[in-house]
This record gives sequence, structure tokens and C-alpha cells, in this order.
Amino acid sequence: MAVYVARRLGSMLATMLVVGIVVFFIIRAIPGDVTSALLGQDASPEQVEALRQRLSLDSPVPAQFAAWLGSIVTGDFGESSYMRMPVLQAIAQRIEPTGMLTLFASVVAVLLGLGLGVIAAVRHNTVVDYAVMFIAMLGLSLPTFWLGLLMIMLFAVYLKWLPAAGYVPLAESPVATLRYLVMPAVALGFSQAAVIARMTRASMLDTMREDFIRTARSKGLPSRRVVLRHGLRNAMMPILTVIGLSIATMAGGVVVTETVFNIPGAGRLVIESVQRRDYPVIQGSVIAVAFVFALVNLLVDLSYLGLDPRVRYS
Amino acid sequence: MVVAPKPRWPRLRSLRVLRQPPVAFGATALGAIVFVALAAPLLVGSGPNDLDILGRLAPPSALHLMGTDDLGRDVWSRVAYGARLSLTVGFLTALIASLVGTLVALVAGYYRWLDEVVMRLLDGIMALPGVLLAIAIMAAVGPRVSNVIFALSLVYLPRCARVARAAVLVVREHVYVEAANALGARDRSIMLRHILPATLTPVLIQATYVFATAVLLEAALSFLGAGAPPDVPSLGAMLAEGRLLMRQAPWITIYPGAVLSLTVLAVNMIGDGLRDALDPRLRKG
Repeated sequence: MAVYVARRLGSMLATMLVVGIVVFFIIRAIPGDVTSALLGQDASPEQVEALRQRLSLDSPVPAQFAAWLGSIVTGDFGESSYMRMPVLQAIAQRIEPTGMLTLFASVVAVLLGLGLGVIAAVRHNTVVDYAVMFIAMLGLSLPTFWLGLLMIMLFAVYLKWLPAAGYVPLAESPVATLRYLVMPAVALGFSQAAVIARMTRASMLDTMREDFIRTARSKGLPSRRVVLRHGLRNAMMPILTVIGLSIATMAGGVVVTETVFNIPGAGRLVIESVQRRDYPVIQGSVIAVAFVFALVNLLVDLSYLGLDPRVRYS
Repeated sequence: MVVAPKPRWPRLRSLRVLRQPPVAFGATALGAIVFVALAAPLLVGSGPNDLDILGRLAPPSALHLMGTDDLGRDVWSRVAYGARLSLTVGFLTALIASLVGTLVALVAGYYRWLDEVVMRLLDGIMALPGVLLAIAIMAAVGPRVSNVIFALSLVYLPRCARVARAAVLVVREHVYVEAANALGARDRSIMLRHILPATLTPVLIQATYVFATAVLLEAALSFLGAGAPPDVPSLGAMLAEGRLLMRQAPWITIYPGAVLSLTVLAVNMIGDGLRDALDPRLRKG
């Protein structure tokens, strides 16, 4: 078990290292000098010189990478060239709406995805199954931003049930936060619910063919117990993997959803930074999201330990 | 040693797949959209960038089938040209990502020492959500259609390579590869003639999904203003304009989104049908 955990940690570190390499080279791909990209146009010669020193720009590329990686690992993501504050602070200011949105969207995606997938598998090859699969197909095909816009038209402009756009911080009024997040969470969660539903259905169909399911049924266990305790529990491993990927995908998808619903979160910050050519913030956000992604995947891998005893001994 | 028949080049035994209702629907819809995109100059009355200041925000009518936007540009014309961009970007991304992905998988899967390094690299790229990676690349290289295709190809390359590699790993162990090796066949010939065919079916199926998601991602980039340059009509950019005029002119939002959704839906349905037809193991029970 310790070996398993150590291996997963190692592979997470390796992945983050590669992410670092990719980001490093994207920043280097910007036309012009690195210092002007990172400091903006109106930097003083002293600032430029200080940054050249810090990034070891006069050394060979591997040394530059090592210096850059060193500052990232110690939590120094540089300073926003537009806002003139540390990048991590700029992101932290905007993280609450993004965190809440990702959380709610994940709840929507997991509940809807698992529910629809199980129902489709239990009602295999019936009208219910086909209907669920069609809904899932729509979820995979409709752009989240279009779905969001249609929802605003229907529920905010026409029916006036929900606010069209914006965000209220949790500390001000949790109820208002929820009202503002209903539509964004559904818009963002729906496509991932579709992915989870397809995987749940496929995995459940495989599992429900197993001998132990027949045994459970012939013992006279109630159907619900057979499906949920014996079926879903054993079908869960591939589904969990997909859920992990879905949550990470949504952490990136907030960029679009926050734009649609005018939510002042970290995703909007990325887009604003693109418009302002504020590369340190873009760089910091990409690394931060990749870190969350790697962390979620690590948690999924570790959850296998609890789910499947065989992993513990391998 | 695993004894198995040598994989053949994939072949659809007939066009029977087309008889499944979802595939027939997908093929018809995609055919119609491709036709509109190709014949756009013949089908539209005014160019996608023609301004008509007096006819701003006109609702759909016989003159403007899908109405006009806030600059008086014909929405139908812009949708037709926007579909052109969507299809071009989707197709080229799927083509480049699957070609390069297969090549990477062949080389990495065959020369085992390379495998670990290449796969770690691809995992790292996959650890970045597609939207964010594409935005970061576009921010660095600037708004051009060719850059969008480059960015999206890089986003989807790892997925294609993974799928192809899985097939390579299975085939590599087969007796006929060993036999070819023993007979003195060169590496390149073994890769191309004996291993490549096995990768084509899974890669083709993957390519249809890449097509669909690349169309969505291109639209998302344009919606965010990080995609094609503003003078190129794009469905995503139209939705960004429509968003601000939702109350006065809902048609600017509804039509481009509907065409975009239909395109992706059609490709996805064809993809599912292809998968069922080509890969019996995955066929739904």
C-alpha cells in the first residue's frame, strides 16, 4: 500500500514537472523579449535587470528552467504586470466564486450522471435507456456557453425566476450565492454529467452480468440493494476515474461559464489577463489549475484503496 | 506468445452503418452543414462582413433569413461562413492530431526505451484542461486561424497518441511481428505494414470525437475572444455578440448556437455509429 501511494505521488510530481516544462516553453514562445512579456511595456531598466537576474536569462536554457522552477516551487509566481501585486494574491482574491461554481457543478454532474447512468443500465434497451442516452448525447454536443445563454433567456429574461448574471459572496448571503449559482452550475455540470452517465451505464452493464449479481438476486435480496450495493459499488472504479477527469475539466471550463454569467472569478481573471497581455497571471493560473487537476487525480487513485481491497495488496 | 490473426486494414463491410437511425440522421445533418459551408457564397445574399447600418438588429424576414446583428450584418451569411471555419478547424485538427498521434505512438510503442519519456510528456499535456492550454497558447502566439488549429492539435495530440499506443502495445506482442523481425524485416517496414493497420480503427473512432470537441473548443475560444481574428466570421464570436443583445435580438444567439450544436451532435452520432460498426468488442450489449 505504501508502495502504491509512493508511486502515485511520484507520477503526480512527474506530471507537474512536465506541466512546468510546457508552460515554460509557452512563455518563451511569446514574440519579443521574455522580460517585456512578463513586466509589460513600461518597465524601468532596473526592473528589467532585476528580472533578468532572477530568471538567470544570461545562463543556458536548462539553468533558466531550473531557476524558474525553483521560484515556482517556493510559491513565487512573480508579479502581475497589470495589477502590480503578487500573482498568487491576485488569484486568491478571485478564487471564491470559482471554487463554489466548480463545487456546485461537480455535485450536479455526479448526481445527474450517476443517477441517469444507473437508470439507463437497469432499464437496458428500453425507451427509458434510449431517452437517457439521447440526453447524454445532447450533453456532449451542446456548447456549455450556448446552453447557458438559452437558460438565461428562459429563466431570467422570460420567466424572471433567477438572476441573469453576477455573483454574491457567500459571506454576504448564502441563499443569494446559491440563487446566482444554479444556472452556471447546471450549464457547466450538464456536459460532464453526460460523460459520467455514459461511463456509469457501460460499467453497470458489465457488472450486472457478473455471477455475484445473480447470486445476490437468487438470495432474494431486494432489487434496489442488488443494484446499488452489489452493482454500483463494484462498477465504481472506472466511473471514479471519469469523475476525477470531469471535475478537472470543469475547473478549466469555469473560464467559459464565468464569462457567460459574468461571474468575477479566477476564470474571468484569466481572460482579462489575456486581453491585458498579463502573462505572469496566465502562467500562474495555468499552473494552479494543473495542480488542482493532479491533486484530484491523486485523490481518485487513493480512493481506489478504500474501494477495492486488491489495490491495497498489489 | 500470443497467437492471433494479423489485423487487416479496417473496412466497413458495407454502408450498412448508415441504416442505423442516429447515424443516418448525423450523416444527413452533417452533409447539409458541409453543403451550406462549401456553397456559402452562392447561398447568401450579402457577404458576412457587409454592413447595413439602416437595417441594424432586424428580426428574421424573407430578406434576412436569420435577421441582422447590431452592425446590420446578415446573420444567415455569417452563420454559413462561421460553419466553414468550424468545419475547417475541426477537420484539420482531427487530421493533424491523429496523424501525428499515430506516428508518436508507433515510434514510442515500438522502441520501448522511448515509451516512458514520451508518455510522461503526453500525460503532462493532458493534465492541463483543454480550454486553458489552448488559451495560453493563443495568448502567446496571437490570433490567427492557423494558430487555432496548431493549439487545438496540440491539445488533442495526447489523446490520439494514447489510443494508438494501446493498439500498438497489443499488436507488438503478436507472433507475426516476431516472425517479421526474425525474417529480417526492417523496423520501418514492420511498423508500417504490420503494426500501423491495427491502430487505424481506434484512431479513426477517436478522430471523430476529436473533430466534435475541436469544433466546440474553437467556438469557445472565439466566444472568449481568444480564437480566430475578429474579421473571420465564427459561430463562437457571434454568440459573444449575441450575449450582449439577448433581450433585443435573441436571433443572434439562437441561430449560430443551433447550427453549432447540430454540427457537433451530427459528428458525435456518426462517431458512435462508427464505433459500434468497426469495433465489435465495444458494441452495446
